[in-house]
Amino acid sequence: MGGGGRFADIRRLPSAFVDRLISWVRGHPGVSHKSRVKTGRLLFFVPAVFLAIFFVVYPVLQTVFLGFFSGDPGSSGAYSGLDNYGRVISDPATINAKNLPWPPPLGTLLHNALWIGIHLPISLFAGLWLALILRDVRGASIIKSFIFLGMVTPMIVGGVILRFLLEQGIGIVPSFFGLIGVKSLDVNWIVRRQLTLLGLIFGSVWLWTGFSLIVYSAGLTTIPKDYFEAARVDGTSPSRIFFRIAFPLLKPITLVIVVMTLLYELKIFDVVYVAVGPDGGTLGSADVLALQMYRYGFIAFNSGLAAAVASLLTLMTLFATLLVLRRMVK
Amino acid sequence: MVTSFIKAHGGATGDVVDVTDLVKPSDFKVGTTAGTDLLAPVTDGSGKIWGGIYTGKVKPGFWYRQSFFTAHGLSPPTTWAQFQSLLASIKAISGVTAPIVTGDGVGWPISDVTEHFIATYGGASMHRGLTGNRTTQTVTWTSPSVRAVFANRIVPLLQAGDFSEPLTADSVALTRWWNGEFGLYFMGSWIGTWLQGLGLNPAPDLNDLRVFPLPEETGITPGVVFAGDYMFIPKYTTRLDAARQLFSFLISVDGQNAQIAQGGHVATRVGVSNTSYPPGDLAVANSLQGKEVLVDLDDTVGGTFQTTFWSQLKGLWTSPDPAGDLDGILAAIQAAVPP
Repeated sequence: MGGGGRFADIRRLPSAFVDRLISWVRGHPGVSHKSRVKTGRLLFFVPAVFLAIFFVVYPVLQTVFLGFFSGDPGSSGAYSGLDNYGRVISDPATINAKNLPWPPPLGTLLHNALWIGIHLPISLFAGLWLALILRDVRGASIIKSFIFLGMVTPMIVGGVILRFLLEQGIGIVPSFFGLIGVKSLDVNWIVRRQLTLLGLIFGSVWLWTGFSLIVYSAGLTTIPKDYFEAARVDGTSPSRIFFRIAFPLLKPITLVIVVMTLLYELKIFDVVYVAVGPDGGTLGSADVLALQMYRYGFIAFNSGLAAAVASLLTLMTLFATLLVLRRMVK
Repeated sequence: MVTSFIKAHGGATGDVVDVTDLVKPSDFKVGTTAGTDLLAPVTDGSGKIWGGIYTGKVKPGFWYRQSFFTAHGLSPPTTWAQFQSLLASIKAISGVTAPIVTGDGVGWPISDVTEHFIATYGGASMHRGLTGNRTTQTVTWTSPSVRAVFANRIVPLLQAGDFSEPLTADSVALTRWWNGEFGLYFMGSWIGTWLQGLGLNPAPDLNDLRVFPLPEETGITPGVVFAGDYMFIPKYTTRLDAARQLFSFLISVDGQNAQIAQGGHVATRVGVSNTSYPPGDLAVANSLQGKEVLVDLDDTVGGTFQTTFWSQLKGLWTSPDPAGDLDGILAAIQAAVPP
C-alpha cells in the first residue's frame, strides 16, 4: 500500500504536524532510532498526563483545598484550617462511641470498617470456594452466570431488591427466620437499627460474590492441574491442597480482588442510599461515609465538610490499598 | 420555599414574567384565619404578582375504607378516648396486623403523621413555632409542651402497638391497607391517585375512601398542612402567549373545577363548586374549616434537619422503649435545627 493510502486519514490534520509525524513513523534519515522511541513515548504519554491532570489530579487537589474552607472559597468561604476535619471526626455521625460495641449507630467510620471486616472475607472466600467446587462441574458456566448476575445488576437496583428482601411480610429473609421459628428476626430488617447494617452487608455479598468467583475461576485456569493431581496422589488432604497449593498460587488474583472489594466497601453509597434513604436508616444505623459526604455536600450544601469527608475517604482508600499491596507483594 | 424563589426571581432578577394583569387576589380564599396567606398569589413589596397557586394538596388525617368500617361496625372518632377505643376495636379484628399502617421506611410518612399530632394537640401555633431555624423558632423540640404531645399522644399508641412497623415501600403499605390488613393510613389527599396507580384487580373504588382528622381538643386551634401547587412563567419561554393562557386557565373556576374532579386536589379559588369533588376529597375540603393552614414542617426547614427528623422518628417508631428513648430523640431533633 502506498504512503498516500496509509496516511489518508492523518492527512486531514494540520500539515506541518502531519509531515513531522509521517517522517517520524517512516524513519526520517536525520532522526535516530533512540530519538524516535523517545518522541514516540512522549507522544503517547502527554495526552494521558493531560487527561490525568484535568480529570484526576486537579479534582483531588481541589477537593483537598476545599476541605480547608468553611464554604465556597470563591464567595462566602473563609480559610478554616483543619476545622472541617475536626468537625467531621467529632461528629457522632462519624464515630458514635457511646453505642460501642453494639448496637448501631456506631458512626459512619465504624460502619465502613464493619463493611470491610464482614463483607470482604465473606465475598472473597465465597467466590474462591465456589470457583473451586465449580471447576470441574458440568454446566458450571451457567451456574457462574447466575451468580454473576448480582454483579451485572446495577447497584441501585440491587439496593431496591435488598429493601424488598429484608422487609417483613414480603421479604424472604424475615420470612425464612419466621419459618424456622426465630421470631426476633421475623421483623422489618430495613428499619430495625440492630439489623439494617448487617442485612445490607450480607445482602451485598450476594451482589459482589460473582466478581470474586469470576476472577478466581480465571485464575484457577492458570494453575496446571498436575499440581493438584500430584498432591492427591501423595495423599494430601483437600484442605492442605487448598492452603498449600491453590491459595498461594492465587495470591496475585487475591490481591486484585481484595483491592477492588476494599474500594467498593469504602465508597459504598448506592446500595445504602436506595435501601434506607439519605438519612442512613433508623437513627443512622446503616449510615456510611459516602452517604455522610452526600448529605454534607448536597443536602446541607456545606462543601467544606463534604470535601473533608472526601479527603478522608481518599486517604483511607490509599492507605488500605498500599497496605494490602505491601503485604501481598512481600 | 417556592414563594421566596418566585419572588427572588421576579422583580429582583427579572427572570419571571409579571402576571399582575392575569390574577385578581380577591378571587382566592385568603381569609382572616392564620396561614391562609399561603393560598394567595405570590407578590412582593412592589405589589406586582409574579406567580400563583393553582389548587393544593393537604394532609388531612387518617384514611379508611367505608366498607371496612361498615363491615366491622366502626365509626370515626370525635374524642381522643373514642380514637383509642377505635384503635382497640380495629386491633381485635381477625386478620388485622396493626390498626394504623406506617408507610415508607424512608421516613417522610412518619414525619407527616407526627406533624398532624403536633398541629392538633400542640395546635397550629406550636407547629408554626417549631418550623424555623434556631433564631426564628418560638418553641423548641425539647420544650415540655412539645414533649407532652409526644409523651401523651404518640408514645402510648406506639407502646400499645397501634402503629405498624414502618413498611419499606409505599405501594406495599397502600396495598396491604386497602386489602384490610390495617385499618387506617395517614396520608395526603393524593392517596386516591396512588391507589389508582397500583393496578389492583379489581380497581379500587375511590368512593369507598373516607378520612377523619385526629379529634380536636377544646382551647387548641388545630392546623392542617397544605402543599400548594405553584406556577410562574419564566421570561425565557418561547411560548409566552400560550403560557399566559394556561396560567389563566389553571387559576380560573373552570380550570380548578377540572383539576379537583381528577381527585387529590383542593381548590384555592373562590367560587369553585363542591359538586366537582370526589366524595373523599369533599370531606378533605370540608375538614379544613376552622383550621389554620400550615406549611410542611420538615420540607420548610429542609437540609440535614429533615433527614435527621426522619431518622430519629424511625428510631422512636421502632424502639422497644419509646418512652425511655423519647428525650434523647427530641434532643437529637433539636440539635439538628439549623442555626
